[in-house]
Amino acid sequence: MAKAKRPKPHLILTAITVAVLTLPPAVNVSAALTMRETPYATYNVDKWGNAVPSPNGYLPVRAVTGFSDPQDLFYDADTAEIFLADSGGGGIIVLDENCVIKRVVEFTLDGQPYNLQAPTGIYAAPDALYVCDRQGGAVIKAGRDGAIQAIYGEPESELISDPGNYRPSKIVVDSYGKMYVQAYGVFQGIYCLTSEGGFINFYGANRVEMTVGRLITQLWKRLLTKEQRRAMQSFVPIEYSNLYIDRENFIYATVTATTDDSSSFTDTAQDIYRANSKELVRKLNPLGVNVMNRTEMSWFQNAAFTDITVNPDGVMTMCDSILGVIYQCDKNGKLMFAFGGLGPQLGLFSQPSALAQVGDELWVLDSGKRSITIFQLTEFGRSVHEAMRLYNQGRYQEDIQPWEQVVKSDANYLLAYVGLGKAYYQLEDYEKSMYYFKLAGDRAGYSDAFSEQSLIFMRANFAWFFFGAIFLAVGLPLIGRVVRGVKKDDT
Amino acid sequence: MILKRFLKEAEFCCFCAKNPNSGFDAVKWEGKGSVPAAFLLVGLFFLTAALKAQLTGFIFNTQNPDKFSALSVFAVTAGGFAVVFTANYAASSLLPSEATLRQIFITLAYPLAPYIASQAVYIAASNLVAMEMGVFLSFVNLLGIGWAALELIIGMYQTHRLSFPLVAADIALTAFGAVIIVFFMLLLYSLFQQLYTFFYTIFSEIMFRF
Repeated sequence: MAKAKRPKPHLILTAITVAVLTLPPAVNVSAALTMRETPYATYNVDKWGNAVPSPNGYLPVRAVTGFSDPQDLFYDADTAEIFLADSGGGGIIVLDENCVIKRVVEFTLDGQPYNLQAPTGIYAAPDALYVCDRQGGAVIKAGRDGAIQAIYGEPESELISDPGNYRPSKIVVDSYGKMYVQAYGVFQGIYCLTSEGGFINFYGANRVEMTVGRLITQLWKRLLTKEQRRAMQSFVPIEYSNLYIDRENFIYATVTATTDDSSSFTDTAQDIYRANSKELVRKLNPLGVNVMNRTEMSWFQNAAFTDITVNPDGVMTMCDSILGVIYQCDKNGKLMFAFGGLGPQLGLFSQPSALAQVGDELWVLDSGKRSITIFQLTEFGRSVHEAMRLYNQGRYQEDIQPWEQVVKSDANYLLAYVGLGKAYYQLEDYEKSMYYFKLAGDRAGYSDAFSEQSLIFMRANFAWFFFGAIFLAVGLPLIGRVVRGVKKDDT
Repeated sequence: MILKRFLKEAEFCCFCAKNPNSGFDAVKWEGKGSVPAAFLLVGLFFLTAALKAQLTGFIFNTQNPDKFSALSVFAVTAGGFAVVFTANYAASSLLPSEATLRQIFITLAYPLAPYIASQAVYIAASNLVAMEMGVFLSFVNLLGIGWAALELIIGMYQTHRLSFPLVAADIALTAFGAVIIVFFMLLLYSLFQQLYTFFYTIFSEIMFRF
């Protein structure tokens, strides 16, 4: 009997491999970019506050290194220049939007070269550069070309408790030329200075939150002598870590715990900052009052924010140095993306210390790795931003399609459901609105739509309610009386 | 037959809620009220608590359904009732109380009726009103609790045959007793946990050796 010729297995395998390799790629490139693996898992929070995985909103595209001790970033959208304060001797470096060094600002004072000791903060106004020279204890105002116009030393005031220790660290300048200087180790607030460098007041001072433990310690302190009291920890509020000013002169300030030994409150710092943990990010109005919606910002438990940047739509991005996480939230404080972490790979950080929103890109300065990591929006991130832009402008109806796009990628994206709920509310489709508000866990929104819906129901069925009420009020007692009358007649 | 009895007990329960003085007087001297009905009320107490977590309208419902456990609700409601019952029986034995075990059980269980009714109203109404009307819902809640508390105090006064200061002392002692019982239960729980760990360690040592 002739044996049937069996095909050889390795030949079949080779044929399959060749077929698979020569097939056209089934996945389109943009989808592949969204799904590209990152060393971190982007997450969001669900309506119960639990972290849930979410598609990547940003992807790290590259990192630029070669700085000696970078401390601060500032993006000037008008000139498309990025200023980098390098306190390791580099001075102020100017980069273009491709992160290529354009020039190094050479400071001159009366024609002579002037060396900055250790610049830690930079702000570029249309006509001037403001540099915080922490080591030199001065704020330097110079022209864009580096010609120094003024050097502002320590401001003079009776309110300053520790004169001679002025170490300006970060600076922003409002549209009237008033300077807001955050100085190292100063817990009274932000130095608010006139355009001539004169002291106005401390701005946006933090408060110490009272806890039972602190109250008891305070009572105990009353019984002690001055010397004993001095030996104990004192309760002082935490200092600011960084500042950002928007076009309307609102100042965004981040608060962090300090680990510096020279600080007078190292031991209590952890305690205080935890007590203040809901106020780690503040939006200060020109009076210095925090106007941030605090109730929405409950998505971080343990964070020390080192910088904040805000895009024109009010989307805030913060970096946290404890977990190395970048948080992005809308102007009401609702979380959009949380990504990043600590580690050596691209997209992870060692000590994220400054942020800049360069167009759609997000630049993160890492003073530990001495690098700038550039993040680009993914397709998903772009649709979220687009939807958020329309949402913040109150154009809820146009927003339906972008939000639906977002929901297609991430069915757990709460903000999308809030947006859809608001859109359908505006379109007076209250049933749909209620459905989406319920998915979003938005009780207030749901309640509003519910009120409208019940009003419609009442109007549509008014006749039933009206005659029902008349029947209950008049008919029932009448019937009762008749029945009782009949019974009486029977007896 | 059962239905007739049920209706009779339900009527008496309503009577107690409306006229606690004469109602509990009848419990004391005429042997009215029934233990099965009291058990039913405790069961309903558990049921309303469980249903409140599940059926309260979305606007007022803050219970995460993923974290809901009927067992823990049962432990809090029926278990809580059992603890209070035991504590009240113990406390009454310290005072010149004249109540029997049966009377104490009925006195503690019957005042649950107005609370259960208020919860039923709360659950139904929470599905029908918007957030601004929430204050009325709180009022319904408060009314139920207040009514139940008043009925309980008058009931204790009638069945224990104590003066009002002693009723107050009885309530305080009951609360204290309940706290002590819970404390001992925690202690026992921790003890058993340690015993379990101890024997488990011995077991695993033996398993590793042979």
